[in-house]
Amino acid sequence: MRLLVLSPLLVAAVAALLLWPSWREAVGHIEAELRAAIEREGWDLQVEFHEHGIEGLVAAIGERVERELDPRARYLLLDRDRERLAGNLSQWPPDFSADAEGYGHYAEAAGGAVAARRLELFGERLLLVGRVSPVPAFESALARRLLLAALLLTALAALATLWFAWRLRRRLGLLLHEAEEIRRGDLSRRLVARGRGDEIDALTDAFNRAFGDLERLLSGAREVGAHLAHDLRRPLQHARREIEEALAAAPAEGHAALESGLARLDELDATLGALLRLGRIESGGLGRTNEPVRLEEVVGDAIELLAPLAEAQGRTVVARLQPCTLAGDRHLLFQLVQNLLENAIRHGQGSIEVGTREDGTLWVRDEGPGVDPADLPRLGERFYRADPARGTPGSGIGLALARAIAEAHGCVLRFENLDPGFRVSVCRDPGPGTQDPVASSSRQAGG
Amino acid sequence: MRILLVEDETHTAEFVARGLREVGHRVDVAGSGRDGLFLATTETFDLLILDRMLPVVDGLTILRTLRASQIHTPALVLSALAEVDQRVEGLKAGADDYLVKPFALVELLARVEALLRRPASSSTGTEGTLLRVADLELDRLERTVRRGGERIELKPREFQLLEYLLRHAGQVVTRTMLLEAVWDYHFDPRTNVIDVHVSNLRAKIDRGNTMPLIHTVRGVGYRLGPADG
Repeated sequence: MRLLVLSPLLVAAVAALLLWPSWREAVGHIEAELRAAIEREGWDLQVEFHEHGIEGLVAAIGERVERELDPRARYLLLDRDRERLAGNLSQWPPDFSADAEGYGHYAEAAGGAVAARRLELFGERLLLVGRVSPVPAFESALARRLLLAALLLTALAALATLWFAWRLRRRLGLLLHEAEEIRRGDLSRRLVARGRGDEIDALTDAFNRAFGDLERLLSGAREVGAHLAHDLRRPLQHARREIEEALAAAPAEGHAALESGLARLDELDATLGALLRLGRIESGGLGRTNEPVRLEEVVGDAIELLAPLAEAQGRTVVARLQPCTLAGDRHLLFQLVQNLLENAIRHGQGSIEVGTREDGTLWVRDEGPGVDPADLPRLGERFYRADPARGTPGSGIGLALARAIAEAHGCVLRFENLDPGFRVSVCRDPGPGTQDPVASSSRQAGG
Repeated sequence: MRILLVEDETHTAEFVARGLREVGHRVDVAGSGRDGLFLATTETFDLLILDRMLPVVDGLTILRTLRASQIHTPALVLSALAEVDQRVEGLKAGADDYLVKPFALVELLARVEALLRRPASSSTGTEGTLLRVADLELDRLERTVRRGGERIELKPREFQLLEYLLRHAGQVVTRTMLLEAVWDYHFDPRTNVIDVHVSNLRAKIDRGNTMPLIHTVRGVGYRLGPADG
């Protein structure tokens, strides 16, 4: 917007600066021409005086005034006593000041400037020969035209600026929208260049190359993930088999230790599974399913699965479900709700409220003391635990997984101490796509 | 029953084969995908157990080839790839069940039993209206449950649990099998949450009854049947 006001003013200023010397030159030419004309006439009248005496000069001036050869001509002839002898001026102009050559200007009472030559003739007579100067008229006409031109230029510049800004906005907006779609959806898609070979096309190409690198990198990461899963689970399988074999052969008193070993192994496998899943979601290998999911049904199913755990602790789970359809992966969304609910069952207190709203917001609230405010921003980070002493297996990754799933669905996790109570919400991420692409300034604050 | 096991890791193959033989199956082991494919196409088996990640010809390629040549032997795929899309990929290739490594032998055995007995119960549609074990009766059409003629009220999910147990009456059913069958989601059942559901169901079915029907099989899961055995 600032650019919009500034650029026409700039155009006008530059135009004025460029025109100024030409203007001065034109005025100089006109004045030189004027002076030459006055000099010529002065010379003619002097010749008249020398040939025919004062009577001849008076007659010549009288004739010129009478015949109005030039309406802009001014004459005045004064005798030794400064009495007027001839001419179309009633008196010697009081504000006329001549330079060393007898040349100067004065202003007329009716307006307008006169350039004049003062001539001293034999017998202390004074002759004034002048011409009304066309310069002020020329100047005002020129100024009027210049002003009009500047206004026109300003308007044109404003229009051009607006048009450019609009086009830039539109193209950047389109690019941003496409980029956001690529981020949320198919990484193999590319931005569309307009084929104009301009900077925006260059930008598009740069983005596309970056997307290509990213895709290669991610598919590489996915392959590594699959091999990692295989390589990590194979030794787990061996360990499990060996413990099971030992269990079959061991006397009854050895069973407890071996069985707890198996349980530990399963715990390890569960953590590994969660990590692998987290990796796949974050690298975009999972959560790209975009089927319509009835969120309230998924939440209802998760409550049905987990509510008995809360009830076993004498707590209740209250569902406040409004119908809501979300594009996504129902298995992952189920896992998200499961993790949030388990978190509330494990770490929260009192009754638990689970809700969905029509706008896609989902929340889980308990009546516990919440989390130390210092820990709030770090919740949802991988392996981060608000209370390390709790040491619940797998809990370091549950919220990280929840966050990754939320983000894969274009949502963000929000943690709030409600005093009393603690609430985790999953809300739609406004995302950069909905921001004003040109005049965005407060993006960071929303985080 | 005759089972073909295709697994390139000899220790795991031996372990699984021994476990299967102990419960009375005949087991052929193939150490590579190529051998497995050859055996599966030239001989007749009641069940195939395929490792997914095999050198040269992997498990899913074997399955696709078999299904394309109209061999519909039930197949169980073993894999280290646990994600839902990887599972779906396995099922699309023609697998009837998908078990993630590392697995407990009992889990594998329970699933093998379920697969071997499946055709009898799932191919006929009319059979399913009434399921009965001892004096317990479940009507799938009316969605009612009776024990000794007396009506028992169950929540929808408890009804599904009982239905699954009844369909596999006499077999061992693991916790993950129950979760997969009754909750149609793929997730990490880290908690033994299914135990709470089964004990709620058991309270309704077996309470005050001299003959309990739902039995816990320690370290494995549950079995529904008239007596402990």
